[in-house]
Amino acid sequence: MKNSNNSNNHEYYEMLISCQMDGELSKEEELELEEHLATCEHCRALQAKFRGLSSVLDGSTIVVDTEAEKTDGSKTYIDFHRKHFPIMKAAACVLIMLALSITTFVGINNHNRTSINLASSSGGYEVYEGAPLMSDTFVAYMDGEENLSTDYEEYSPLFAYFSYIDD
Amino acid sequence: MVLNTMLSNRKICYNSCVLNTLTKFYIMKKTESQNKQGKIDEKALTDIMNSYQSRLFTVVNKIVIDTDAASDIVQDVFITFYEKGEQFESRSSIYTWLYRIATNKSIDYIRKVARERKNQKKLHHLDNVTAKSHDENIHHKMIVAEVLKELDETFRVPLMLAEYEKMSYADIAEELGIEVNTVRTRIFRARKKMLSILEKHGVQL
Repeated sequence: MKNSNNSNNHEYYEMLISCQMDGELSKEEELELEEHLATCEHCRALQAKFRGLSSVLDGSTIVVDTEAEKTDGSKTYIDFHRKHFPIMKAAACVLIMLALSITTFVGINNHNRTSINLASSSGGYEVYEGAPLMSDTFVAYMDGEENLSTDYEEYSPLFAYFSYIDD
Repeated sequence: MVLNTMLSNRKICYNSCVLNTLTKFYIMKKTESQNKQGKIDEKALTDIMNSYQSRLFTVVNKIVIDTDAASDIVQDVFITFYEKGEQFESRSSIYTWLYRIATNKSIDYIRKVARERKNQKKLHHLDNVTAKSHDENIHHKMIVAEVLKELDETFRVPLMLAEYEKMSYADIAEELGIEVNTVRTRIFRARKKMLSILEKHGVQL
């Protein structure tokens, strides 16, 4: 256990403190630790924390909510400060959710307006997703035209009907 | 038949003495049929129960702080062990496994009690003193349960053996089949980790 290379290392003494808690130190190690503790505040604090931890585990110290009433005078109590969800984090979450929902909404609208190019044997024509089903006559009419506009409004059933009549 | 159904359904609500006998009887009865297939050794099983029952009880009772509940949990652990017992190769792995299951069952029990307590509070308006006394214990148990749950099993078992059973490092090393130096390191790491978990939960020691 004794390690002269690590004698100045805090971790070595921290380990000794842990062993001391379980009564696993030799006399030499006890002396070495006591000498170090006399000069090191950090290790003294850790020793107190390890003792506190041990008493929490065996139930001699009770962890309670800060606002709770301490009913048993024979027990030691440690206050437990319930951590609340920070307001700023909550606000940030709401903003992100809002931004996401707006993006999704706009995305859906654009998607409805986006054309899907369906390659056909006759050279291909564009069909708009969301547009009503087209009659065979209308499809035949479209196949016959070379410079069709890609504006969705122009492919409305009414437009198709007028174009058909024009012919 | 009735006994088998009761135990396998985990509807355990009997006092510990009766339950102990019931569990042994259930295990012995099932062991007879298992032996024919060469899967489990009855003597070894009894030996394991005798060796670990009181030790597991001590640990579980420290976590749940309720002797009746601790007794029930230990019985439940052995029934679960029996059902999966044939998978173990060494004694050290059995020991680790029993501790893991016992701790997990204790934590689940505490969470269940806390949940029930919350519901009870909503349904009935308990008087202030009783309510505060109960809350105090529930908070403590919940904090300890959460800390134990978050701690990796590799570190949790040696620490619990040292803290709850006051075992020496040499004995822990022998039980777990690891080096004494490893035990020392794991217990130290476990303590450090527990401190940081407690701080994360807002507990300043």
